Amino acid sequence: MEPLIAIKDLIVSLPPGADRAHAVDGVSLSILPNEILCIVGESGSGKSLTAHAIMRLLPRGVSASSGEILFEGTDVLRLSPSAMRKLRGAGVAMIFQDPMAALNPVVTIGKQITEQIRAHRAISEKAALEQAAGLLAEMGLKDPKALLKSFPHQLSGGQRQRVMIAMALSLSPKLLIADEPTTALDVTTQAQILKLIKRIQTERQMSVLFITHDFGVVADMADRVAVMRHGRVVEEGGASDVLGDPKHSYTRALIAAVPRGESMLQPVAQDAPLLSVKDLAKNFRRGGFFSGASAVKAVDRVSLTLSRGETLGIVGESGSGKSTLARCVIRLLDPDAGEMLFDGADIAHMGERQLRPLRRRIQMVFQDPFSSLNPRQTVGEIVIAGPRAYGEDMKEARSRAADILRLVGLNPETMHRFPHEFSGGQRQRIGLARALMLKPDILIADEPVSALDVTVQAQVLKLLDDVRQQMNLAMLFITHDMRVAAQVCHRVMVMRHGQVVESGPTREVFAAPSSEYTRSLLAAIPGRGKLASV
Amino acid sequence: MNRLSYIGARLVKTVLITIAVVLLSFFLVRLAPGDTATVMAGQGGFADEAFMKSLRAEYGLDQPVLVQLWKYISAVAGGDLGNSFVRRQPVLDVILERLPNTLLLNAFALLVAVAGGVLMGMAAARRPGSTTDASMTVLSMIFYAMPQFWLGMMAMLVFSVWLGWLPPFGLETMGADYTGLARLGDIAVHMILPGVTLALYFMASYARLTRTAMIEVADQDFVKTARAKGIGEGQVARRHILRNALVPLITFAGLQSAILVGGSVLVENVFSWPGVGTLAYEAVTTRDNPLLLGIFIVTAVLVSLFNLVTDIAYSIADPRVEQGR
Repeated sequence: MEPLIAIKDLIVSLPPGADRAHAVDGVSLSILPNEILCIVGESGSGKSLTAHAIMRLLPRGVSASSGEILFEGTDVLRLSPSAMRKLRGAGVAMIFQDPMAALNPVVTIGKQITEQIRAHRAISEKAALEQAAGLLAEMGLKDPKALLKSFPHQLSGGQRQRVMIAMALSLSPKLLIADEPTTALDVTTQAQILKLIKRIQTERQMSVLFITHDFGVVADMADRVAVMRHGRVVEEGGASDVLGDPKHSYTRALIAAVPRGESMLQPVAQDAPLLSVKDLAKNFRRGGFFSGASAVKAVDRVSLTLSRGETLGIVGESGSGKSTLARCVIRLLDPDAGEMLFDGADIAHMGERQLRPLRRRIQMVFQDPFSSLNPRQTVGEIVIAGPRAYGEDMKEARSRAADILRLVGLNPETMHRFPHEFSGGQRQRIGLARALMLKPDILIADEPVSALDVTVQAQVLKLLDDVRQQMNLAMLFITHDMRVAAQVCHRVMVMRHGQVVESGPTREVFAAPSSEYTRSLLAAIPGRGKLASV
Repeated sequence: MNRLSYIGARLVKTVLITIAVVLLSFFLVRLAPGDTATVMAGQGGFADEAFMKSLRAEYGLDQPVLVQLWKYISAVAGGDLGNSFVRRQPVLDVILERLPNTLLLNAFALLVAVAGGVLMGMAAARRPGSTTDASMTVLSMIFYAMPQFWLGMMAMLVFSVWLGWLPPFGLETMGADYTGLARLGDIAVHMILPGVTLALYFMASYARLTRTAMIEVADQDFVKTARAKGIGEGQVARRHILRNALVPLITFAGLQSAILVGGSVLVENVFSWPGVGTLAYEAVTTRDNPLLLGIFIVTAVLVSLFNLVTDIAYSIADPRVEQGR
């Protein structure tokens, strides 16, 4: 069969002064009609730039310097700007990672869909709106007429991505490029969107180029797979071949790094809990002044216990209240009600002066390794600031910092460097070192690996677990990812709408979930049971 | 919170701000040495103690300050801003007679500043680092750096004295007694020099702001989406980039309209524009405290109203903004 699109020896050059000359270095790939090709790789592999090169939407300064991209026999790299414009949207359509950012915030959904239709076809706004409503209904969206008049911020993440897909399909393109379309979504929403893409691909017999970093998603979606690393394709083949019998060592490493969602850890023996939270509540108020204020119950009577040497996972989707709970425990937020017994003292409503000596004993590692470190402080300053604030001697703090940096796997000689000189995984290690410098009893890790590539994620998870054992820490591990929770948590607590839906030893919860919601979370794990153990 | 109750809340705030302005300015104008009586006596060329005393008694300046304050506030609450010492007319009448002139000049200046600034910014943002971009930057720095009164005088020298294209000062041609359209045209021609002088400084800020906002918005994902949809570059620039880049400009325009009221004092004086600015200058030099206080109050109310209009405009331009948040 003739391929719909054939990429031959594509080279994408980076601007002078970048860390390498080519982001995409001689990639050849083809996609057949009615086929889903998944390109999988970590950040910096060139997978996304390859996709953007097809649309000729490369960022400023980045260009496809050689090779060809033949779409139905025509090289898109040599099309005139106006011919390219006609191809975009009509022949090849694209959807992006973050549907909030990808939709214009000040233009209605209806207008955003109709402008695409009308850019290619001479039809009236009214007819275009009708067509748009039909598309939204096809995407499983309720009340399309009302949706057309709404703005993006009024929709949920899943709705937005459905709108993006509806828009992409409005001109029945032959190829849909999906660039990490579910990475920014909750796991149950992700499962729905994946199903939707699969359904429309079958119904419309389109080709799909699906970019992802997640082998679980690959297992659910792909007909064929191409694995990319450092701008090259290291392995390519049918989905069952690559997943079942990966040839390249990098592919094997990537697949092995995907957490399987199987619990490895036995619950630790529960002695007297270090932290015991009872009926904790936190409300957020909306509105005020003239209108009636309404309260959102972010955390609704949550109880938990945490012992030394134990990791408790708090699992939930966005808006479940898991982060608010963490922020209450560390007292960055003041709880409205309930008690928190820490080492015998109730810290829920303790005044700042009494609380201060206890603060160092509860520390936190944050989600975003980029924004959580002060860019103007050196690693040394960041790590030492905490102990210095508690009056520790400079010399001693320095020497301890060297030990701690070594413990988290960083070279102590890097202490004079700034955060931007480090990779995401290394920064997360710096964040961990900062927390450990205060010799905490409790470590709260708020989505510590969700911004990291899968191989780096595996390393950081292992490090967290090692540190917990070595320092006999009690760890509160906040995550949206059931697979990650299974890997490091002894017990898990599933949260939804501020309430605890289910809790228990990880093994039991995964093997026999008692609540419907937990079951749906587990069922939504991409690629469940489809990945070989390599 | 719905829009009406929001506006209600803002109007309450406006009243509170006005009261604060009245109190503050009432005491501030009394901090300066001398009073209306000394100025009047100075103008007369001669005064003895008895005359000064009778002058002060006439204007109520011999009473304790708090009594004066109380009398003033009760009058203001009733809508009476008092009488001008010098003009011997009700302050409100004097101000209302001049206010339309100032509003006209400011509206014109705002329009010129926004239109010119946005066009300059768009031209500069089209290709950052290009010659157009660099020259726009230099031009706006020049507008930014030049003192307004000097710019006004130079503009007058060039366009009125040397070239004779535009009238140098005033609101309309004296003694011409135009009516209808001819009068409007006459006023429009008189407005060009002071209006543009007033506008240039702000035009520079708009140009810089538009340039930055457009470059920033151009990098966002939804602009990529727009291109991926296959719509033309012109529509991408207008509907997707400019439409979003204009949102921060609204805040700035609101701030500017407040500053304009104060900024027009200099320009109005340079061009003898019969507005509130020249009136304020007269009130200061003649120590006409009731008039000066009246101007402060009217200005404060105006600024509050401008801010309210800005907020409403902002919420229309950006649907994500809910009022009162």
